[in-house]
Amino acid sequence: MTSIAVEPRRKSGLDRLLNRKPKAPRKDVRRRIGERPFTPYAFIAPHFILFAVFILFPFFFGIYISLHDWFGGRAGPFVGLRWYQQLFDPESLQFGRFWNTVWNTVIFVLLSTPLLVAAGLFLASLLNQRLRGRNVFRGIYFVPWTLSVSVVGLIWWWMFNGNAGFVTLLLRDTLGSSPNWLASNPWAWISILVATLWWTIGFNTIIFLAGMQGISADLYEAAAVDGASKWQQFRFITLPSLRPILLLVVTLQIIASFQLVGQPQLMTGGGPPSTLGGETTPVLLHVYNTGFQGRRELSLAAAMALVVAAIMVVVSIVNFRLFSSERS
Amino acid sequence: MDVSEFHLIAPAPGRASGRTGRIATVGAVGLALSLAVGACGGGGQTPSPSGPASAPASAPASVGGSAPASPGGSGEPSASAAGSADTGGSPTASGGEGAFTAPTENVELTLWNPFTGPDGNFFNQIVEDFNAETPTCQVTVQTQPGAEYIPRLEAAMSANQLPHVIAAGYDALPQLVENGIVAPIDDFVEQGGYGPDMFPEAIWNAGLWKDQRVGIPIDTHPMVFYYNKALFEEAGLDPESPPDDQESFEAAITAVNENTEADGYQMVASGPGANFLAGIQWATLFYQGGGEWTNEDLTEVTINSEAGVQAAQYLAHLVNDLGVPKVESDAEINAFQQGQNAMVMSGIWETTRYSEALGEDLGVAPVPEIFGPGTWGGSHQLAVTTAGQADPNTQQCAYYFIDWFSRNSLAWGAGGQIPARNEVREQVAESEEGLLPIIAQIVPMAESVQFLPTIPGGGDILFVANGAGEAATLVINGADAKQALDNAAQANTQALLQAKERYGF
Repeated sequence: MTSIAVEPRRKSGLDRLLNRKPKAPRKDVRRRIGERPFTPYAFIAPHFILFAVFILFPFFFGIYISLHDWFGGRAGPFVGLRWYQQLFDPESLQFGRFWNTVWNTVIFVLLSTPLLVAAGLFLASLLNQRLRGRNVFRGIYFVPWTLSVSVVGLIWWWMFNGNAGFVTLLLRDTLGSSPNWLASNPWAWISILVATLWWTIGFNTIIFLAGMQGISADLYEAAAVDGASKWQQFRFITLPSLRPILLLVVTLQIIASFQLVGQPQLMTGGGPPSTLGGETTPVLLHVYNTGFQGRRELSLAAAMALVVAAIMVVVSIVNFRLFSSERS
Repeated sequence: MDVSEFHLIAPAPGRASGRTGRIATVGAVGLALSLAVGACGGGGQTPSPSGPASAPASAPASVGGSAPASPGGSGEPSASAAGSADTGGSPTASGGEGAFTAPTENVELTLWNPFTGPDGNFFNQIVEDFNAETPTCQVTVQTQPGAEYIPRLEAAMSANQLPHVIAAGYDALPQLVENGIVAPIDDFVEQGGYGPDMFPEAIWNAGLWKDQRVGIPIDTHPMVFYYNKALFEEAGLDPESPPDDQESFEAAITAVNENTEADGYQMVASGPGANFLAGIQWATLFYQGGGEWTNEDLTEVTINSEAGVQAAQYLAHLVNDLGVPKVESDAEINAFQQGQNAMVMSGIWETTRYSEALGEDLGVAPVPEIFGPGTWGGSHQLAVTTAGQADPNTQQCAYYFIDWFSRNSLAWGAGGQIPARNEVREQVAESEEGLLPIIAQIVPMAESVQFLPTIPGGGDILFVANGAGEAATLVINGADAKQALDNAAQANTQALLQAKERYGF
């Protein structure tokens, strides 16, 4: 997040050093002073150890669990693909609820990604101008991102709840009536979107802003001389220059939106209620509830999580392809 | 986890959308990570050091050993509740002399409880009094958040750091026994002369798993009927005679709706706590109609019986025919506190909150008998862990403590629970301590409270996805009662059969 190469073409000395291709060892510069065969590994080690402990091992352990029957805090026997079969068998009790929550999540991804990317881009354009108090505004937009989801969920629950929610009461006082924000759709999704927008928009904005500041002012000057309007400058200079950043932001946003859990958990409880377990229950909340609540079907939850992971990998690949094919 | 805390404590939220910064695979793998960490019960949260509790094993102390004997007698316990002025007198044990004795050698016990609320102070006060009286058996209380209680116990077990005694909801015990955390204590019952004659039968039986005694009940926390006396008066109702049957309940709803600005009753229909809050109302009506959770041999879930359908239909009837508005979970609680809702049926743990908000206007009564007697409730029980059984001295101290606590559980009732033990419940009316004056008005509910089956996952029949609570919520929102409960029963029967196979009962 901190090291975003905006202009990969202009390489600094450091870049050249880091990207140096390992060539056949030449006798004169085989090693620098103090370098040992394990030196590169030592440099990699701090990250690799954390990566292995917290990501690599748990990933494979998750696969292992999903092939067994772990429940109620206990290890259990190997059962092969039983859980995966249940998830893909329309006759099973798991099928309807799991895919309903996947679908809920897809809805949220489709609604939130364009909104959060466009809004981030818009805010970044505003904040990239020379206006007074610019840094104050940057701070203001970024501050909510530092909050935890429980705080955000509670704040917006108090904004939207049907009894004493600020928005609800405001609308009742001014318009005479208010939608039942958290208990009926589409209002429940809108509430969750608003909360998410307020919470996370700062992140996308900062990334776009960093990208915009890396675009050479010469380009804008030249365009202005040629008579390009502000919109044309944005369309033909800013956007193309931001393409790699855009790819990054869109990808990260899709992943982040897929990881929706806390806002519906705290605001709607996954409701409005439906026979398949709620209209705003995201899949990861379903995974959490399956694995860590009630009977704690950990193996089933692990299988669900891995199916979701596979979906996300596919989506990310498609996303990359889409952006790279546009380029060519 | 204590079911009563399901909706009070938000489960630790996972990282949700917005916390970006990982690439695709990393994000995906992160999921597996969180699962795996939970699975192996990673030792992140270790309980504070609790060394091996005792000196070398020795024979249990003989009766009348050097430990200060309890003076016996039946004086009132002086265990003063937290907050109330200490009488200054030296603590005395009471409630009759116990059959147990304190160990002669010094033993230190660790006890875990999930009482993070104000009730925790009452619990601590009892333990302090116990410690002051029993120099050879010292108990240290560690309070753990309810939402993580069971996982933390499992982690403590893997780290060989189990407490010796725990307080837990009855519904958590079978799983804890199966996982080797809680040890059966039939010998405690035998030694102490405990039996069904000392407790209401349902409460006593809630601590049984596979015909073994696994927990000693200290309280029951039933659903309670709360009403606003000022609103009753305004509506032309007698504030001193709360509704006690279907007719008077419905008449009260109508009277408040017609004569005041407030609602007579509000029905939870959505929101994070909906399945729980609608669920315990449904369960109460289910019990009142004579419903049974399962058949005799635990092979079929029978929530779709006539009693179940009738219970769900009644909740929908309130909404459809009596103008009871559907609200989000906790809205009914807030509205009641603000005087905008005249009646509410909530768990007894809401008493403090309501009492602070309404003061003298708060009326408390047993739940109206819509279809007959019967109330949903939970029960906290004290249990001995496998660590507590390791050593005779430790076990002696643990048994002595549990018995002492049970005899002195009046002070626990002051924190807002109905004491489980019959002889203690009889003293409730005589005490002004803490919330006991309020508890006194609902003490008879201890006799009508009923419980879910004490089996692993027993509570899930009511509370989790696919449970009766969810079905009730759907019915309140217009679904067909029979259909919704059939679906829930089918899913839960499948889970029950799976549990039967896994745990062998």
